[in-house]
Amino acid sequence: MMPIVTWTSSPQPPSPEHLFGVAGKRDIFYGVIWGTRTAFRVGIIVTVVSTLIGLFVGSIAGYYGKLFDEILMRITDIFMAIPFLVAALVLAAILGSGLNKVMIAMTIFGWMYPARLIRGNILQVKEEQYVMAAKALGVKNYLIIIRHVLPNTIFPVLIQASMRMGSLVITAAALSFLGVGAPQGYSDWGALLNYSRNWMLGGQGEALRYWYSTVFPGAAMVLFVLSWNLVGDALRDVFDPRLRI
Amino acid sequence: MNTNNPILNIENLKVYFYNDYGQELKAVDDVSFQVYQGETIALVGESGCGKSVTSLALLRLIDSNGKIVGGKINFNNSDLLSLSEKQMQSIRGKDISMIFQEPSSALNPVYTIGDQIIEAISLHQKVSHHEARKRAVEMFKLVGIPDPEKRLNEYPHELSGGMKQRGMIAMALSCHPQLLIADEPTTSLDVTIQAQIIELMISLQRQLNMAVILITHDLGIVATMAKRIVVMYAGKIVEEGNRHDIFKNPCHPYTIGLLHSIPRLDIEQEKLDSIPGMVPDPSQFPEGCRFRNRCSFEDEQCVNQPNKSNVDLNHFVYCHHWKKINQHSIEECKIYE
Repeated sequence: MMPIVTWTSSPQPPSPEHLFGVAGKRDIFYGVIWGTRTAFRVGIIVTVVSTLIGLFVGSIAGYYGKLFDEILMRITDIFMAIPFLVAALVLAAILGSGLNKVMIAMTIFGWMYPARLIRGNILQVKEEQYVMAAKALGVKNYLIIIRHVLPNTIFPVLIQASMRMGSLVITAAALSFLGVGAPQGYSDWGALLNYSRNWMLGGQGEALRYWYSTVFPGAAMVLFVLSWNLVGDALRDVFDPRLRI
Repeated sequence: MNTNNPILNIENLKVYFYNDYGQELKAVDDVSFQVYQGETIALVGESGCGKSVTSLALLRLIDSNGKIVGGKINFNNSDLLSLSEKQMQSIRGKDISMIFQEPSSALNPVYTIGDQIIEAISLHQKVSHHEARKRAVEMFKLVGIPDPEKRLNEYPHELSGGMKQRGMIAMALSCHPQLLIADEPTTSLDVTIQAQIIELMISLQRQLNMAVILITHDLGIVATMAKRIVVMYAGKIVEEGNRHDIFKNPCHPYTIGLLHSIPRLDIEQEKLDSIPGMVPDPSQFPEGCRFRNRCSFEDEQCVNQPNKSNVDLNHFVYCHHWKKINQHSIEECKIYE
């Protein structure tokens, strides 16, 4: 929770006391720092859970094919057809607001992307000759999935997951900004932006007067997304032996 | 001729595929042949004639849209088609192994070559990891990979094509199979490496006394390696015989066509012969003899399926006109001489 530091409702510029200034009666520096924790929590939990669901659905659809594939992929299509933000808003409205509810909503509407990715990869790898070669060596079916198919399919998924981590935080921030997210006063970048909503256009004749109320939380988000993208890149370099020299 | 029992006896094998339109594609239709211990038999034919499908059927690895609809595959007196999947897994790689055409795609890119060969060894033999590694090194020495200890830790993309194929051979032979299926083992290699690999296979075959089914369309390799040759066309055997019979005394027009399409140094030729036309689509094989619409000897008889005719004790042909053709080819040989 971000403590209320002042009773003036207009934002106050950075000062030695409030390094990033004050918005919505709350210290932005405090919010940016503790908002990182929220970002990590949302990002990691949603990514891990939705990737696991996607992995499960996608590998069943990809490996067993036929009817499984048909049914699971049509369900995926249905979920993908719903605009994400709207769906999350509606779901959050049904479940009630709160960070956990937002995370549930984001998981429910987020598992399709890893599912599709892993299915496509499995379909491709399944036809590779080394899978046939492994079969010809007498490797058991489940070992083929674990040892030969998954290692060749999972890295793109992990990389995608690490990149999604960043974008999910943005989405969570967007939901907070729209008011269905963290409760009032909870340290969250989106909530901070929400406070500055009224001040974004600045004062009369001074468009940039309250710049600090958006720039600092915004910069935190940009850095967060950027660093996860870099992690994704690094993961790819580490995992793919073909890139090793 | 070998009088003891063959280690592999294929009888009337039929493998059909079913496409999305419900059509039946007879990829392998009524194929029978035997393989004896220690001998090399070559399956020869154009792409799509069913030679690879035959070999995959031996391991029961036909894709899910295909099915072995009939016939028998007897290996060491057990019927492979009646075994459970689990029993089959213990035969694959141990008693029958296979070398694939593209060594670069038949090795898993995310594991070192050593990991893969050790996996093959420990699958079928109860040995410790250390012991398996030692055997892998031995296998690498056997197939002539220099510096085996170091090579084991390399990934497939770090090895050359020839090295990869040697690695594949090492993997296939690591459990001393009785039967090795080599599906175009040298097609993707360049000529100098091809010769090395062939020599390697010949010497390993002698050392380990295993039978080899060689699948290829390269008649040069067939001539150096194979003892018996089975010529396939459009899912059927058209001619079968010892190497000498096939090369010197071919009786089927397709075999003759194949032999004529090899460039030869000893004959002056302006243009290389080729067989006119294309292999028919499996959904539209002609009635009777499947080669008849590309054959210059075709007549009304060919609408009926030709029977197996014995040219010699071990030389069979499926053609109505084999006598005429044989005469023709012998005369042709005389002209060349």
